[in-house]
Amino acid sequence: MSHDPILSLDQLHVSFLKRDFLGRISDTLHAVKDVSFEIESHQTFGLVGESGSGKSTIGKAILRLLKPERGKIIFDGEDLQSFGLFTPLSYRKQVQAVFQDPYSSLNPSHTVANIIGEPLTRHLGLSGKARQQRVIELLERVGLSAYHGGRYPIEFSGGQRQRIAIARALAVEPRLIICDEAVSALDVSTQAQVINLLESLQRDLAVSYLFISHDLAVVRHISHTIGVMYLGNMVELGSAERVYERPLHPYTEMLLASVPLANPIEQQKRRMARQQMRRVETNARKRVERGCPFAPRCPYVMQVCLEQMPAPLAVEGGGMVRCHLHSANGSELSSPLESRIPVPKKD
Amino acid sequence: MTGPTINVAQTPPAAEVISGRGRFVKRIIKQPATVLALVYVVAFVLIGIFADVLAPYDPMKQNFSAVLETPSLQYWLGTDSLGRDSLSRILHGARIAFWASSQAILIAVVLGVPLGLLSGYVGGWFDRILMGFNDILLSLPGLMVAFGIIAVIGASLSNAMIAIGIIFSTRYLRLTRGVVLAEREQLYIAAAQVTGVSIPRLLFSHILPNIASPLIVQTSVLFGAVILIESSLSFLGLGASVGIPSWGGMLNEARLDYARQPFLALPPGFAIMLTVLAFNLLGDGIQDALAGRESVTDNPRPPQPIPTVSVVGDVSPQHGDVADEPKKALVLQDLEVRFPSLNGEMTVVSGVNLHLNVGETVGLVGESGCGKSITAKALMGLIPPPGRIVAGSLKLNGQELFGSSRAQWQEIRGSRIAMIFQEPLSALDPTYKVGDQIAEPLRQHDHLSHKQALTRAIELLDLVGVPEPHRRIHDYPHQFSGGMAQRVVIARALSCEPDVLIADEPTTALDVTIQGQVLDLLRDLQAQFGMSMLFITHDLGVVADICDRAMVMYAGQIVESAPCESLMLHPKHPYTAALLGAMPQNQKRIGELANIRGQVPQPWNLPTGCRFHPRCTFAQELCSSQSVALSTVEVEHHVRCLRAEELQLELRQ
Repeated sequence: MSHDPILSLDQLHVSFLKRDFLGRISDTLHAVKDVSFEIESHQTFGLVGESGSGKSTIGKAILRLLKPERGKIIFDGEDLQSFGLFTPLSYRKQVQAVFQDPYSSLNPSHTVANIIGEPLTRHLGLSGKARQQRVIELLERVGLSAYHGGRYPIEFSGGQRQRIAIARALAVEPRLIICDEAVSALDVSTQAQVINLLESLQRDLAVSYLFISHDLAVVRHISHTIGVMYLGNMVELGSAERVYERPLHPYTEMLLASVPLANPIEQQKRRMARQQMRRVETNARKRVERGCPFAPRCPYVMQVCLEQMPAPLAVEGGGMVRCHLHSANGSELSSPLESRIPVPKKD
Repeated sequence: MTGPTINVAQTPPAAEVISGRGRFVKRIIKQPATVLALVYVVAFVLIGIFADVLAPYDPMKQNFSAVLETPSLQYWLGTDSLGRDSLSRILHGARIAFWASSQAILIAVVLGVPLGLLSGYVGGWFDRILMGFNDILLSLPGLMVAFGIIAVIGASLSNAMIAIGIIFSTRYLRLTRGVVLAEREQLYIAAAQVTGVSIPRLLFSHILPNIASPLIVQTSVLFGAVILIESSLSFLGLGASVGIPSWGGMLNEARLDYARQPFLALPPGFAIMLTVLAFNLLGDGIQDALAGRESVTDNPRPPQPIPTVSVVGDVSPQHGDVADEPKKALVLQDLEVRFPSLNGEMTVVSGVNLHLNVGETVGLVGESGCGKSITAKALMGLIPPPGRIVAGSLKLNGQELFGSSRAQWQEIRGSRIAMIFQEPLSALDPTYKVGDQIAEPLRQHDHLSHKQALTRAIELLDLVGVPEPHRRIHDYPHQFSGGMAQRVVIARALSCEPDVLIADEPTTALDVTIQGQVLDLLRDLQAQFGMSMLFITHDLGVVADICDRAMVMYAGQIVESAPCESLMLHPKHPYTAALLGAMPQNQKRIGELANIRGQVPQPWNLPTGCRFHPRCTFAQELCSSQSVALSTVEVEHHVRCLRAEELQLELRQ
């Protein structure tokens, strides 16, 4: 793998402060805990996790919609902290976003041509004919027609709206697009259309994506590298192939086993495995203060898991995993997970 | 193929999509009082501008030969003690009222709206300090502050209006800030920030147009209020200078001559009352029209009658082998549901047949807008008006349900047919403890006492796997996570041991690991209670997990129905095959995903012939002309496709 990251996160930590009515801090929620990863140029980094895992928070921090507590975000060699309070236009031009809900991400009182044209005026200073020409090009690039430009978002279906949002993100030829659950609200057939569009745009325009989603199947299809998040921690990182074929973290394994397959025979096998896992899981429901956050649900939980958070462990061939199952001897990582895990006790 | 040359279906023709603005005008026209108020206000403004031209006399010109006259042809509204024409003075008074109010409102808007935008958008200390000041100003009576300011800077109408403008700006500030706070959560704001839009442009070009409606309503109401204050001040001699015709001043003069000419007070009195009334009515009317409300009397549609039902005989496909047919808990036949639209009624669901055997789980699959949720609602007798069931028969254990009265449905719902929904937290009432919510159907249907019902609620919560149920019955819904809340909803649905459970996307909003738990729970409970389940979902994986049989819906029709294995491994309808192909089933990153070109057609724009033919890769000429019936290709496998027998649909695995 050539090493040419367009964006890297170094120990990013984001927390939300809960204040009481006097404005005093009453509680701190650590949404993202010391997460590090890199997005390679022209590639897609998939960030998976369930609700509350902090995956969207990472996207917002990169887009500078919220301020991280500590840690670095480095885009193309430049530390985002050096920007200060205001974000320079040059950064806005290079990093764009497509959001989950195509219904609220387009301003209902602006026409489609205005929505797509605004970044053109702001960043490239285009106006009049030139701007109109570029808007039409963009509309056609995402599979819409020129006459759609004069309409309002309300006149479009979910899939078409997401195309408009993609056209807006593409308008200024960004180098990185943050796709935050960009296809989650779409129907299966439309979802496939939008995924194909995103992939073909990457081929033609060499754009990189941070693809944030809870849908493992979609993430696998679109990503080169995948990071798995659990309660603010990145628990596993690796190439899409490796993570799906040979998951090292028990949480990744559980996630993968939970995706239902549209094949009743295969799904029956998965169901059995799932129920087996659950039997163990329910025996270990305890809160952990210091240890691994997944310990209370982990089928392979050990004493050490409840006491100390496992450190990130490099995996052969790139990536990492944070799990005590692998920390005893790193060289064993090449063997499949099942051979080394202690057989869960049954009682 | 370089780019995705996807054929995007056109949005419906412009004539069929009424823009928001068109709908707004339509709603306004439906309110006679608002139209009348609008006409009055327009007239008021025009009079204010053209008073010079319209007034028959100079309002200042005194005529001592005609003092305190009653209305006549020469002086339509009589004259005052100096012989000045009342009509002319009323018309010029309108001018004073209009300009003075405009001045005050303009100051209020210019001060209040930008500050409100900024306060709501920026938040933090700025917001807190500004709102503190605002609250103090709001708590002072407006008229008193006006007196105070006049006392300091001298009495003149202009000064008074500046004072009132400043006071009323607090109303705008508060309102604007409130709507901005709500609007700020919208994603388009984040999208604009990401685009690099500057803050002033974000506030005025992006947010302002979307919050304009409440501001317009506010302006209309405040206009009335300012006119009232202007009149009061002028009445007290603190507003328009003495002699200048203003309604308040005229009222004051009339007071002096009340004994000699009582009529003198009526014209300015009515002018003030009618004008304020008109502005208030207009504000209310605009608000109603924006909210989509229409006064009931204006709605020509009579209250919905009980759906007319044409009961169709038993025409189930496997009519022959009656002997060893499994017992059917629920049979729905030839369901047709219509909703009114601009061009007459549109059929949203048509010819839907389905049955649930006792203890069986049937999946109803389809994309959004295919009619699956409407079908589910019909099974619960919950088609939202103005929609109606025009045909069909629904039998629960042999008893016909369509045509039941409202009271009969209430008896059936919750006790014999129960339903669970997609969003568990919105299906529970946030103000009641969950124990009481589970107990409610038990008390209503099974007539248990409060204590008995709560005991049963604890048993049910334990059954659905909520830990420490005796403690948790006293908790409120927000204290439950999504997965646990769905367990509570399931416990409530099962409380009366229904024969049929309708599950409308019950796991869609849940995390994937929790989804597995809820599916396992439903499966266990079904075995335990022996109930039948209709499982509505868009996820074929979920269907494969829990269903015995599945039906695929497309554009209001069932297009394929078969046991799960047969349906997913050997689909016969091109739509089913395409749906299966479009799912990114943990596929490796190779090539494009198979997709279905175009989109689901809208119910007002259904294609002729087979409803799927414009998107179907196998469509032939016949497909677009001939409507297709559901035919049986194998035992229990029914397909609505002309080419079902000949097509060999390959599935990419």
